[in-house]
Amino acid sequence: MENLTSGQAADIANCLRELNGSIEEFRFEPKNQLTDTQKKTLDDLMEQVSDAAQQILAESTTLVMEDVNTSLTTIKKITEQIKKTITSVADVQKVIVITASVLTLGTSILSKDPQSIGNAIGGLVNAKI
Amino acid sequence: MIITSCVNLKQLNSYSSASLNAIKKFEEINYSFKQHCLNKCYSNALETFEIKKDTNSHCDCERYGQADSVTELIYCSIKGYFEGLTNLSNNDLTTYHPDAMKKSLTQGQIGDISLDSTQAKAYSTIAVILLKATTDLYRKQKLKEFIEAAYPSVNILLTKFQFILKNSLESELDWKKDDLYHYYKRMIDEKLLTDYEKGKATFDYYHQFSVVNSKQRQIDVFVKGIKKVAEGHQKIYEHINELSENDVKELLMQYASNIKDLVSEFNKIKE
Repeated sequence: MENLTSGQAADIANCLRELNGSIEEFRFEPKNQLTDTQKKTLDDLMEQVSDAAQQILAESTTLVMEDVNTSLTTIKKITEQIKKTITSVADVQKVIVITASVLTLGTSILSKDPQSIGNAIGGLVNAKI
Repeated sequence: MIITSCVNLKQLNSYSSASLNAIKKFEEINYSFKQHCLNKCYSNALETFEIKKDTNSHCDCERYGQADSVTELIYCSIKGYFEGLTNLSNNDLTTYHPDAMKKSLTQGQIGDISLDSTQAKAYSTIAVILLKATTDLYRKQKLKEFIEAAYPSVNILLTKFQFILKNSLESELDWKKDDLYHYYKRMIDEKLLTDYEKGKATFDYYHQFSVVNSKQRQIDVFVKGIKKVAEGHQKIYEHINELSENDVKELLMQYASNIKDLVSEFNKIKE
């Protein structure tokens, strides 16, 4: 199946299904008066066609891989970049929180209130975490 | 400018989170190529009343397992990308609560500067708006870059994902229905059964047929959802510089809404 595309593989499987449908109609038609041996032969044949077609359908999926290899690599790379950007935006948030805590400490020192200085130091420690 | 960028991100987030939700429904389809192969193998054993201890050794499902690996790989890539879009466009990422800043900028004398309560509140509010505007603008710019770079690949992956589910997996289920018909038709026409047994077999056939039909309907609706996701992504790509235009915003809302409707339809299909 070197040169077969995924679409062609799926088409072949569909053709085989139509073929099996016609054989089945013939097989169950009472006026054809098939012997048990003939029925068995047709059953075996249909089962083999069915097996082959279903394997081809699975194969059509693996054939897709050839079409998507480059796309998978590109998306993987871009997804990693997005994740890094999210982290950097989140880092900006952390910096904002830390800056605000430093500002609180600064204003507390200016206010010369030991209680609020203590609280502000606690706030800064938490912000760093 | 600030208001516009917020709205853009909001619409984009609404579309991408609805898309992500629709994509993740893949996990609820709960049917794989390998499972299909094993089911077929067990059905064959049923015909010959063959019971074996090791079910894997006599069922050659390697090719089906490979098909699952490819499908899973494509699914994970698409999901990862839309997770990224959803998280980066989420306004919660830059929702900064100004409590700490408000606390530091309270009314009173700060060194040589004197602040009244209105001024203190105004300063903290302006600071927050400016910080948000900067990060939102940055996010908007990055999202534009990512979507433009990803578009051709996302388009291919979404198309192939639809192909695999609709043309391969759903078609496997058509064969399953054919096999069921063949098995029960032979049983009823050619085996010596009582009327009760024939009735039981008929009931079993329709029950199993209906289970397969439901699975196919699930796949159908899921694929429709993926198609909408792809269309929405294409519209975003085509209008990446006009996302603040009202008609484009409306279009994005429409896609988000259509995708949500399909997810809801998917949820209603019972196995």
